[in-house]
Amino acid sequence: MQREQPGRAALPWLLPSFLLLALFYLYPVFEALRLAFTDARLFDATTTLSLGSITGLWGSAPLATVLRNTLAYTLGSVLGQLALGLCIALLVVRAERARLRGTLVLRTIVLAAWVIPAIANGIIWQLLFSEAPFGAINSALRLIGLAPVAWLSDPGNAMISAILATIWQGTAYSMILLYAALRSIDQSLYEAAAIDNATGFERFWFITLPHLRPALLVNAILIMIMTLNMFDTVLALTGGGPGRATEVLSLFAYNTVFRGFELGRGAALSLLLLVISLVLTVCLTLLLPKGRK
Amino acid sequence: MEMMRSSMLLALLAAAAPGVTSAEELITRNRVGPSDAENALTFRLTAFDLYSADAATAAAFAEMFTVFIEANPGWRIDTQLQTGAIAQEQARIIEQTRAGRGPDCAMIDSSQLATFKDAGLLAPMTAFFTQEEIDDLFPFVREGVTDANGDIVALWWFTDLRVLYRDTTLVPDAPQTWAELQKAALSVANQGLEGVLFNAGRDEAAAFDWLAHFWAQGGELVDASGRPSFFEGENRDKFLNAVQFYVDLVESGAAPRRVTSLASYDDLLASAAAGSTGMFIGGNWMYGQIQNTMPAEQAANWAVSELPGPSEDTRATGTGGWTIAALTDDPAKVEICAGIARLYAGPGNAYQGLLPTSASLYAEYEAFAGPEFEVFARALENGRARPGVPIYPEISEQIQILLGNVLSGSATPEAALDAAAAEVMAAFERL
Amino acid sequence: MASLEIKRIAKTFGAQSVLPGISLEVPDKEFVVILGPSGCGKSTLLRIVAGLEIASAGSVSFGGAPVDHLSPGQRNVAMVFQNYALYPHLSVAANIGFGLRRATLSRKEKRAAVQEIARLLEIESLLDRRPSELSGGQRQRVAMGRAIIRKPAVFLFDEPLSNLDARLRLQMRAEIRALHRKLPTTTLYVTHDQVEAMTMADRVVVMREGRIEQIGTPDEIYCAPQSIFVAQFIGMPAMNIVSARLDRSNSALTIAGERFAMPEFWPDEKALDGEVTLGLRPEHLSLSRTGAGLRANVDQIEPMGSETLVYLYHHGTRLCARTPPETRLASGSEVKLGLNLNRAVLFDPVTQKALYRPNPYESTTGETQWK
Repeated sequence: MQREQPGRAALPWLLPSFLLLALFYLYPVFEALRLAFTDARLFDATTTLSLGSITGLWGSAPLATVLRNTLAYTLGSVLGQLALGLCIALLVVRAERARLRGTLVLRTIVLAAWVIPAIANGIIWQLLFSEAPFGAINSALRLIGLAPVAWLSDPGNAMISAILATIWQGTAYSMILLYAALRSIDQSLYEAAAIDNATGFERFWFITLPHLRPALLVNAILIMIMTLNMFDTVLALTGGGPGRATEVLSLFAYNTVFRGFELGRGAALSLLLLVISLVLTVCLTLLLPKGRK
Repeated sequence: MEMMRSSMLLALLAAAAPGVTSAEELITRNRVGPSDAENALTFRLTAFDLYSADAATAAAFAEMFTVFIEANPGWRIDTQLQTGAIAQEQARIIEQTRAGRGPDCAMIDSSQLATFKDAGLLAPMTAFFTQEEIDDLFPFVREGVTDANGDIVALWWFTDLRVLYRDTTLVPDAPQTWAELQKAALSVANQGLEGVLFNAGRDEAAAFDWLAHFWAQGGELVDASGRPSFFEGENRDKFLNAVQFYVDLVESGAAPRRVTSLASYDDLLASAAAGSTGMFIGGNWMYGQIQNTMPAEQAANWAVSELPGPSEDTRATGTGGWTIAALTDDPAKVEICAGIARLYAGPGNAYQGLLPTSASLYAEYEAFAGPEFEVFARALENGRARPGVPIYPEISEQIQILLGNVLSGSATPEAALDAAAAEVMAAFERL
Repeated sequence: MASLEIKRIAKTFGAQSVLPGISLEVPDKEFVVILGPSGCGKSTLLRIVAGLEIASAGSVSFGGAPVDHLSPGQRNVAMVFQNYALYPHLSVAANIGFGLRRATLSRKEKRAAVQEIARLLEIESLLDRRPSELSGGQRQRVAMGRAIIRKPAVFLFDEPLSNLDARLRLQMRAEIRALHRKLPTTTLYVTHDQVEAMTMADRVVVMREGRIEQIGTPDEIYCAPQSIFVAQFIGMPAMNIVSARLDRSNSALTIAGERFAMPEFWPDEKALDGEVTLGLRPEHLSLSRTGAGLRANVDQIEPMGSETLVYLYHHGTRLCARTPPETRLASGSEVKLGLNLNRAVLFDPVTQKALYRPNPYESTTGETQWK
């Protein structure tokens, strides 16, 4: 008896997940796409087809500010998470090679930050950054004789604070990915380098970094998209303020829909977010190694 | 309204809690009165009273409703709960009413009342109130519940307002004017504490608290047609004056710069509890919170007073609260709805300690005997509600941004106002 | 260029002792192969010499100077790893030249040095490629190029050929040997493959459980093992081991009741008398249908082309005889085994150490007495 074609046999197995994806992922995307081409409002039953929501974004003064904020926030958060995640991963791997105790505890602590919901993370950091006389970080600074810092009320600092809070939470994700990549590097390469009298920097530069390149790139793509779409941390931390100093694109879209009730405009903004994410993904994917020739 | 929001969690819990039933089964999860009553009225309410998660509150309202339904034989109230997602729930009532599936009687957020009025969905209730009752309503309430034909279309059964809280050991006398406030705050600040705190972060509270200072001068956010006008003519000067009031407080050191990061009344309460601030601008409901959270002797130091104005006799305060309105054409049902509203406005408020909207009720109930209610009742004479226009959320958003930019030194008041005006008008065009 | 001296090197991992204390001297330019089963500590010893592991006790000297305090890079050793350990993101040329990056040479001189090494290893055409584009044998050559370009005092190989297929291994064995002839350098080469040891080494060090079992030339190791372990570890198939009894006064060796004449040149030592264990290579057993010798039953035969291996049972002891290629015997058939006792080794059945070993450099007639 001839065996069935694998393609035909696979369809019934794929169908349920395809339907689920379509229902819970594709449908909202199409719905957002549809809404972006209307003037829908949250309280208004009547909507008409319109390009206004999309064309209205062109030359919008707040959008320019928001995009600048988004760039700074995303770039700062992603670079920070990669750098800090790499440092901790290197530390953990070195500690494990030296057979030190406590690496599991360290990894667990870092991971704990990651499982905290973003909104809770924002609230925690709001408490820490509080500029009230009893604010945690400023109290500590005063204790060691340093001047308190206007963490959240100064527009420049507020962005840095938002980035710090995001890095703190996201670092675990980078750390785990990079830790796995570091663990997969052949140990004999470092031994060969040691025999070749390579310095620590040379080992990092000639062995670690090239090996981590794919992991770093994948990591960068993933956390860039995550950070672009992240609004809850900033929402809880600053609400986008002072003024618009920390209002990023995702938060701007959220505010447009849930505070301004402009559903169509909000959908257009999320569409913009989607396009930026897609472009970034394509750019970074092009940088990925293409496999062996 | 803020109180409602802080109790959202309770509402969710209440929704999951088993129904409260009286001994006679007169009150169930979805009904008040005998199930075989010949007349039925649907009533959509929030989950803070009859179906409160707090058993005592629920029992007290059950008793009130029992008395009410026994006084109206032949009637049954079919109850429908609203969730805590206020904006969505209110939008749903509008949509359902338009489709003929709405409730006969419903609780409507005072800030949404104008939308309902404009949609022409509310039934006149004038016939069911005496002229005396109507005259006794606070001016902003009477204005809010009166439609274009001069009919009363809802009962604004409780309100809230913004007042000035002060630690009397630091500020013995209540400041009556902006200048006095700044002076008093500076003297506190000179003692190494924070002089006065107010919300100026990205939250509706920041805009609404500040609007009192704009309104105190007679400023108007929108003109009679509902078009934004806060940036034009006399309004512009009044707007800039009110902004300058905040700027002066911050620049002089009377208020710390960190006010731009304050976006919650809880932050203010925390500073009060820590004893690190002399004064703050907060909501009336915080008086009870102070009594509940601080040790009695510390709480006794805190006093409330009407918000200072540019001069002693130009005052205003932002007011919110909830209304009950009828969405049916059946006069019999409208009458029952008015009865329910009265129940909430009188004994209901007395039990919950919410602020009634007519001066006489403060005298009528023992619960409003405290000195703070005298202050609240007097301040409510100068109460101002949010303008009932769909552009209001955008105006509020722009005021929040403006305050943050100006107080953090990122923009001059004039430039910030121009930017805000441009964005509000752009949003207005999109309406 | 330097001699290598290992003095009482010990290594413990936690409670586990891997090397209890090992000493070894390698004269300048000698090619020494450390051979042993896996887990015998040979790689650990090599890594201690390289400086990749810190010895728990003992000392390593190059040319008489201790290097224990030096890092691997300072020891002037070169090492070739089992998996080559090439830097995958550098070209072949960069890999080979890596060790020169701090040498005081001009860029041109460095390029010339790399070219010369590449010519030596016949990989000139590969210089621009990445390691991932090379075959196993080519990678092996690059790894060697990287090692030899630095002209190290000591050359270390850690099982360098075990990832190659059999044919390539054969070729690389010869090439490494040839390279050593061209660039004579003190070399320590670790392997578990006895063929590599036999074919490449000047001297072989057989290790077992952290101890040196025997040091000797490949011939000594093969023909004159110092213990039953070496006798059985070396040689394919292994040396036959048979219990026997020696009676010098009667010049007789008795195996399971069969008497054999004792070679005259066996030493006149009392210690030899009594129960002994006899070791004989398969090529020193001969088969006949009748004639004299041990009675044995054929178990199976393995025709190898150039020879035929015959496996037999003699009173439950399994033996192997190397016979001419045309030998064909049915399983179970009875044969007589002739023993060439001139080449036999005698072991103490208790200590398992050799009591008497033939001179590997004498002819098999055994006319000359072992000294």
